[in-house]
Amino acid sequence: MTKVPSSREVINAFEDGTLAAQLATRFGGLDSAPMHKTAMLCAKLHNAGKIDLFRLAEDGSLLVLDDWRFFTATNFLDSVLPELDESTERVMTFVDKLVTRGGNDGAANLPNAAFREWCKRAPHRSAVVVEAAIEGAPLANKFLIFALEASMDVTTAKRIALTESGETAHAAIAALGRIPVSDEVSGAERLATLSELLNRDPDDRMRAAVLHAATNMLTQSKQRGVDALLNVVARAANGGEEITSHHAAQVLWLASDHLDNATVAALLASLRHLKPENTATLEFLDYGLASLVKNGFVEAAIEHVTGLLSETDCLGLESFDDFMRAIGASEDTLGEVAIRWLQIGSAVLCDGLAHFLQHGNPRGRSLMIPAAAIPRHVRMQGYVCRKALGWFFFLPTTAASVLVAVLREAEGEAISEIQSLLFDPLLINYGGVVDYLGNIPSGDPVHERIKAALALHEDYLKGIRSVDTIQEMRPSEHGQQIHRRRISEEMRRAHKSARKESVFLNLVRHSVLLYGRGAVSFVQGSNGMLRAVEMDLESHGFSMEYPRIASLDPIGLDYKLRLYRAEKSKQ
Amino acid sequence: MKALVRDYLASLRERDELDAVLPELLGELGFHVFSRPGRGTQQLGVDVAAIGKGEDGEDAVFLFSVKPGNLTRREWSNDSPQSLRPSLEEILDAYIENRIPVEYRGLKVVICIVIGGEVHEHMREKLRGFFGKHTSLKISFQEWDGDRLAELILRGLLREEILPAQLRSSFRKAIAMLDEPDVSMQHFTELVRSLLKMDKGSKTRLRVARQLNICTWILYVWARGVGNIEAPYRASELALLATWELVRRSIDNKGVPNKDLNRVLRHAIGLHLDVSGAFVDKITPSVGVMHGISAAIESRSSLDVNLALFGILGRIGLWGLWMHWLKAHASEGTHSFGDGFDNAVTAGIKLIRNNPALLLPVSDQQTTDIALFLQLWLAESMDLSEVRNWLVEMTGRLNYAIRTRGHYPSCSTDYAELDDHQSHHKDDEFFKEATAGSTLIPLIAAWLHALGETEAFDALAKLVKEELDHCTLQLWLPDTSSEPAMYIGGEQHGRALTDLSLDQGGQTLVSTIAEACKRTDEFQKLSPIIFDSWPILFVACHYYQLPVPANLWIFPLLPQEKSPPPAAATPAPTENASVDRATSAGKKLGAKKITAAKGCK
Repeated sequence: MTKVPSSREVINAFEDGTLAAQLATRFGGLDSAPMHKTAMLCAKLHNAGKIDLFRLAEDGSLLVLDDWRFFTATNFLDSVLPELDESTERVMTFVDKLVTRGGNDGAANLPNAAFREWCKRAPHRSAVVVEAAIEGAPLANKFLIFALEASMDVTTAKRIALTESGETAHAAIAALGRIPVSDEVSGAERLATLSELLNRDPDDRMRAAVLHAATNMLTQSKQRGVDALLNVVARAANGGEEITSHHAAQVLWLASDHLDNATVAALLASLRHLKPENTATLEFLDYGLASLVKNGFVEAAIEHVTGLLSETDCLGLESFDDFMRAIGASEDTLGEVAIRWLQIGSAVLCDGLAHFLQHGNPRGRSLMIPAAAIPRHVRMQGYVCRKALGWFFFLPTTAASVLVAVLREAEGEAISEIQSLLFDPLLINYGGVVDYLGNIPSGDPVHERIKAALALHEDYLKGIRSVDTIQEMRPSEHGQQIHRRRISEEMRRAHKSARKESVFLNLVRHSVLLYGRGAVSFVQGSNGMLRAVEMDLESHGFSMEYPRIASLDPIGLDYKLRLYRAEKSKQ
Repeated sequence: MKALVRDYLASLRERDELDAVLPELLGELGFHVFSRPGRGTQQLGVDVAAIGKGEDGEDAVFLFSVKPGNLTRREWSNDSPQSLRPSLEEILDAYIENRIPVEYRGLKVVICIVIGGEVHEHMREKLRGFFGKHTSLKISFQEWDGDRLAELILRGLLREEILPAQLRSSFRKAIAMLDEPDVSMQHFTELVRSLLKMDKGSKTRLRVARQLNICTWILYVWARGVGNIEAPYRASELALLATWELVRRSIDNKGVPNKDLNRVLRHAIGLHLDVSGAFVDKITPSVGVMHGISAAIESRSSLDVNLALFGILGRIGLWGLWMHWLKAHASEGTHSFGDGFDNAVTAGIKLIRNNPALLLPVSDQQTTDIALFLQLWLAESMDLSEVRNWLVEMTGRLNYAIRTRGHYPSCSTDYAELDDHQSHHKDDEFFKEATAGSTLIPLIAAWLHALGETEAFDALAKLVKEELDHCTLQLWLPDTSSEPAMYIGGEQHGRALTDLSLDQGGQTLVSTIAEACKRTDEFQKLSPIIFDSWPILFVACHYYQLPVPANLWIFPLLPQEKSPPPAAATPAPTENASVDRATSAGKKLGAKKITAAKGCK
């Protein structure tokens, strides 16, 4: 859209109460150049008193727009705001209303940036905010950081940080982190201020503010941090509580590439006793751990997750899906982690790992386990295999990959034990494992060892095939129908439940086709002509191998797997 | 209907099968049979001899020589003594001169060749030639082929007046649905119940028994053809029980049952053993294969596998008990049935070892199958290690299944409910309902105590206390209502022995059960016990899925009492004279050997 409105149009819209809607549907949708022109026009009319843009928030007409229209209108107003001549109080009130209405949306805070721009246009504006904040005005406290940023007044920010308390001090500290560092001396001075604040044994909120500011300084440097700065970060993280922990997680996420081992350790230590109900912190921690993995702090990240989850059953590995994806990007790392967790035997870790390995592959992901990760002790080798069977039984490829990896390195009595396990319960339940084992090259040292298990399996199958169907004992047609109906009902419920978790289905309009192999519908084109939109349906299926013994001896199978899972290492 | 009967006759394989049908058929047609098929004795070509009306309406001696299948050149004359021509020559040369009872020597003789199938065309001339050569004023020949036999059966045993259209329809449907045994049995059961209602007196009673016998035979032979003998297995049990009911009704005031009915009963037992033997023979070669039988059931549902396996175990147990009984009642020169018994035990043990679903039933009703197999150990004192292992493992699994709310046994008998168990087993309300009662636990507990497995018993007692407080532990005992209802089903009968407790220990439990059994003599008054035909009782429990009465197994489990096994059980002393008379009559009943018992290996 390119048409810039006339002044008369804008004034009329204001007078008849439709300006808010027009900002959203018309002005906010303009191309960049016309939008700028319209914004300047609105600013001019506002400054001339012909319209009052702030009244749109006061009377609520802007705030009641639906989200999409509201943010479109706000986006337009953000470009108008810096041009307005208004009292600081009124501007702050207006911006505060916009931010509040924006809620948790990622774009909610953009009006604050507009306010910062507004402050920059006239230096006294920042001073008014600072003064009001020092006097304790709650609204001014909210905008102190932006005012200080706009004026780039580091000296005032330092002074306020050291002399004031509460929200005022926090805002000043935050400003110290956000105001660009112009030189080393300035940076060192700010660092000294932050360090001084830490010396005073601050409360959790203050500590978090210091941490946040130090981190901002760190990320500004665009390189690995100066030791002194890293030291401040580590000190800030140490001894903090929930709010500090939350920021510590954020640091790990956003600044891992600037950290060193000691700082990472300090940040992780502050997150050791994370409460499951702190879901936002948990989410940041997950991002942070993934970031640590990507930036080379793999062991620290794994150790942290291992420690956290083996000590609690209130958290699950599903809370760390980004971390797991980062781990999974390296086959070796994933294999090492698997062996480590199987050795520990923690239900939370092993069960979570099983769920992760199932993604995208119903038979489970094949693990590549480096030889160095395989335990050397004979008993532990058997133990790890039993654990793998217990936890990965329903992922036969994963289970087989672990057994094969251990068998490759096994010695002594462990060899026959693992061969036995490969046969029962793995091959005896899943014929498909034969295909997996068949893909092992003949040059692989484990190839010979697998033959024994395959031979046992072949004998077993020969025996079963030698028995003809006992017609007399086959289930009746009636019984089969009952069984099929129940399974069908279970599948239907599972399908319905799965659909509820889909992120896509809530975004699209549903059409239910009762007949046909495709659909055709007609839409009106831009030229006013009807245009046919056709779509053929394709089939989509899923299959998985059902373990044989689940039909022949479900209690025995369940008991065996439970024993494997519950087994404790004797070492 | 004729085609159905005709094909049945043509399919009869063994001599014994056609032999078994013919005398009853003749009896129903008004013939007086004075010589029946026998094994081991020289028959001189004659399988059945009877007095009947000749073509001239006068009494004549009919000498039947039976040949199953079609008559071909090979069957007519070869080196085998069973071929027809030598048999006819023996009749002419020896039998007529020496074997016809004195009182019938003045009558004309009609030699009948009975062919199950057809006479091949090229044989007709030979037959006519032979007949022509040897026909005289005294001796004539008749040919009864499959067509004529079918006609006779339809005009005789299965004629319209005594087997009305509706029952014929039920019978046809039973045969048509042989590959759906449940449906086949529905129709066959309707036929049996309707036939029983036709019992108006001794004459009709005998005819009904014969009809049951021949209908079951026809069903069996057809089922053999389609390769599924499930329906005739169950039908043979039902027919046997129905025949026993008829025998029971025929007991006179001297306590003696009708001897003709008795004979039909033996045929019914023989047929049941034929079918059972065929079933066991199908199973036993594969019991040593790991998961072999389980996989051969061809179902993905663990419920189906479990139900089928315990069904097989119960049938093996029943078969073994019959062998044990036959061993005690067989006369000299007949098969040794000891091997059959041993084979049953071995087969059962191997079945359990290689099919672990047998380590815990899915329904309490399967306790009957378990009890039947356990009964074998009581029949003959055997090494108990296998039983011990089995029951201890069963206890362990029961404990595990209950505590984890897994595949624990349910007291439901409905397939849909048992199937639904898979979905709801963790639900507490469902659990309480499903475990509201148990006959399995008292049975296992009594055995564990008797075996000295204190640890397992205590574990079971602890399980009951902690998880099954709501469960009524019980057994079943027959009472006065049982005898009229036991063999024909349809109504609840007997008494539940309830509120059994494991809290006081195993000795108290078994003593309580024993005391309850001694309290009345209703068990001793059951007709199969009186007449020393106790396997009938097991058949009734098996067919109607009733718990095996504790009277049959508790006493050998008591520490000091060494009661003899049921086979040699004598009725408890009583002042009731009719029972005494019945007892002595029972010895006559039980003493007759079963000639049709095949498959005893």
